[in-house]
Amino acid sequence: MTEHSTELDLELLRTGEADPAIARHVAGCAQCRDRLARLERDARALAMPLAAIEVPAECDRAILALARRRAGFVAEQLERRRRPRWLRPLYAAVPLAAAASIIFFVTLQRGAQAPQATAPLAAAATGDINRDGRVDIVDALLLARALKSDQPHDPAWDQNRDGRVDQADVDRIAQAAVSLQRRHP
Amino acid sequence: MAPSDERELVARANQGDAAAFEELYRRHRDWVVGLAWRFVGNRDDALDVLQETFAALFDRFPGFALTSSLRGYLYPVVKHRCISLLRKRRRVVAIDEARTARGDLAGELAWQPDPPGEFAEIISALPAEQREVVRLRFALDLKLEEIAQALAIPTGTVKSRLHNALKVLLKVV
Repeated sequence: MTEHSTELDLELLRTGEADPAIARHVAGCAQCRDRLARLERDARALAMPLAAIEVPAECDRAILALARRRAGFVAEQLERRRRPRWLRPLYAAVPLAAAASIIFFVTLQRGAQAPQATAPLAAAATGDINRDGRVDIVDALLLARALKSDQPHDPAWDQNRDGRVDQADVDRIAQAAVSLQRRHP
Repeated sequence: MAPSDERELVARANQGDAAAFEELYRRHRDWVVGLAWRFVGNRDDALDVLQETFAALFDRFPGFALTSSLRGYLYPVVKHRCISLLRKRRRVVAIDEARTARGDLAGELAWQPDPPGEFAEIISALPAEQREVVRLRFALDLKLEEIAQALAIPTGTVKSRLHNALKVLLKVV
């Protein structure tokens, strides 16, 4: 390299960003070395270190808390992304399945606790609507309640065999219950 | 190119490492608040910009890619936050560059004093685009690539502006 270095070359040499060929030239060129020395002096004069601003501890704490929250968020995001794609629907399905199971079992349990008058009554023709082995006023009440509800009427509830399930059947059971009670006080 | 340990910190932060987030803050806190002070000229505003700048930086994770140094990335963030803050507070005062050495960077910002003496006058006389490169180079000690990133211009343009500014500076002084 025979030409002298430009100001830009020298400036880049000053900060270690110059091409090695420039460094070699300056090392062997007194004029460029002088110019570099002057540039270094000027750069020192131009340098204005940033003012030291005291940062209050609460400001540090607030920003560091933000940093930790963001780190937690990032970790969570990555964890979600790491789950196999084909499994992702499963993660959504599991809570739904759990909810469905709970609803199912609760419904089942309620059904088991419901009066037997709501179930098909094979033994109801005898007046034993709740099939507890005896005919009493409870059977009459259950049948009366069933008539008021919208549930379909079981033909076996037809106590007087008139082809209808109605209040007369309730009365018949009630009458039978009272008679039985009289006979077996 | 960013220092390898800085790239490593960014990589760890991208994995949700809280210690890496904290280290990024501790390393660049003083530089950011000092730079903000240069733009806005008072401590309280500089502290506001400090918080906003790091909140904006943290929001870039995960997936933050460091192309140069973090300072090169942070410079425009700080600058634009300062502009927004000054606009919001309606404290922008037109600065007559012929009478003051402060000058402005974006037609909005003040720059707290340049070096005293003959350089101040020369710097203020430079075209705005050269002046900003000179300040980034000498006052903030940024490398060419960092300046290119900070100003979102090609490295060749940085070289050109710096070269022209140096010719003036070294000829006049």
